[in-house]
Amino acid sequence: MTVFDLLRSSLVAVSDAIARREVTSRDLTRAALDQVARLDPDLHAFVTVDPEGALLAAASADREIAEGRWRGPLHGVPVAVKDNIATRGLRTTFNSRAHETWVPTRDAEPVARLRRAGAVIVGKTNLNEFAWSVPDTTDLIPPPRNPWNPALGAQGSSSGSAVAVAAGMCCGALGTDAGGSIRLPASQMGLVGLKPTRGAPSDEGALDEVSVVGILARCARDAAAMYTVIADRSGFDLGSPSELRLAVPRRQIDEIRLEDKVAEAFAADLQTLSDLGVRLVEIDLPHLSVARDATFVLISALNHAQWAQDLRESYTLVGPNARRYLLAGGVLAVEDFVNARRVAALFEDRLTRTITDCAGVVTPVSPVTTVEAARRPGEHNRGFDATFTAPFNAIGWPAISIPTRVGDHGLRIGVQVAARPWQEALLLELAHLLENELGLRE
Amino acid sequence: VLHVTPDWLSKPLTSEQVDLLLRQRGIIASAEDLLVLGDLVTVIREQARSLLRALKESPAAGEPGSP
Repeated sequence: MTVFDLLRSSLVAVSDAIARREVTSRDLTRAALDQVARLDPDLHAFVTVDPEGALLAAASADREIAEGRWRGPLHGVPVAVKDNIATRGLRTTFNSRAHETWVPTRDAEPVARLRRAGAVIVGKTNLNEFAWSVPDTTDLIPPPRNPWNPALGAQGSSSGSAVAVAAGMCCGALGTDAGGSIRLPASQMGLVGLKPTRGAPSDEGALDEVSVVGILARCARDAAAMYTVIADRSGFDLGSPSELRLAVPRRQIDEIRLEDKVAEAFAADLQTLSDLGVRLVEIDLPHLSVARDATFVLISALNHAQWAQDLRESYTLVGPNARRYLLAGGVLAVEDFVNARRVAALFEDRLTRTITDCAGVVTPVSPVTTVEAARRPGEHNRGFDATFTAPFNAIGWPAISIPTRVGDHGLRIGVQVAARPWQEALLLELAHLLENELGLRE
Repeated sequence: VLHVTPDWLSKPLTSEQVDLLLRQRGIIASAEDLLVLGDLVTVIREQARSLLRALKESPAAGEPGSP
């Protein structure tokens, strides 16, 4: 297996090869940087690449491993970080001209944990400006393209991280998820996307109370390796969940206009889960769509508050799309924000009462597969594509996007499972189970 | 100055009112942005209205100590 093949396999395989000293971190990092140089001019996964810092970190990892000081599964492994998460000494731009030159003096906690685990950060990944707007060609770096079909765009604000992982430019990446920004691109690009429980990866580094730092990885074991590091948990084996019951909000799913391929994929996913012994229980979740609205009101208000200073002082440096999304949040009243918090509490209460003996809720990730469909005028800003993902941001429950099918145009389709707080291990086990069954890991 | 009244969400905001609200926050929006902002403002206020409806249908929800 060549270094390039290894880089494109899995984080766990890379980690094993480094630990056994079959390959050096420097060789892998050079291969990752070569991939970036070769592919990124077309794919736009990165805002900033850090060859010097990455090669220094790789050399340090090689030295420590040679001395018998292996730190764990991320030691010497090339990873990437979304460019709205602070990285010490490496510019963090939010893909905005208003912050083009900001170099943080300290790491966000999840990044600090990656560095302590010996991970090699190859660069900062692309996002739509402030992770709150639609991608715009006038952004600091133009929007990422989908590596499975570069004629198409990439969905979700963590799309740069997803593209970097899917195209083999790194072995895993951090993203942020305020309404589906990790799970949507993961689904579209055939990756595992984990939005952990709010607070699991430390609140420090998340931008606000609905965003959470999470993971984009090629398989469940890779995601588990990264999750244990950023959430500072002990490692766990991915066993098979037994006697599992999952709730399916059938009426709410039927009410949404699913793309045909998504509907077919979801039906097939339910059949696969059933064949694997998972008991599926149909439930009614009438507050699902209002919980999505609550998330969008919270995100709108929080983003307006966070970036209002830029609107006052650097108005023209903020891109036109981001500016309008940020301005719109300024028409909300304190009462609206409070109502959103109360609706989130209502949804969590009803959800908890409804799913009773079920371990979680299973839904499609997105009603559509292409970014172009997700951004139909009049639908995107209503949160149509985040119908199933955003409700779980309002309440902070963990949720995962699991790759299961291949749709039209080479695009991937995933299934979402959300669970009660701190049930990440269960979500990763389910992902592992489906991967083994469907053989999509490679 | 615009005040939040009980019927705050029931009437559409004019672009002049949006401008005034933003100015109250110290933000001077461009005429072009105000012109194209209408849809986003309408949507976010529709979402805020849907929250109000849901809470009216479940008045105890979200209150501390509610069953």
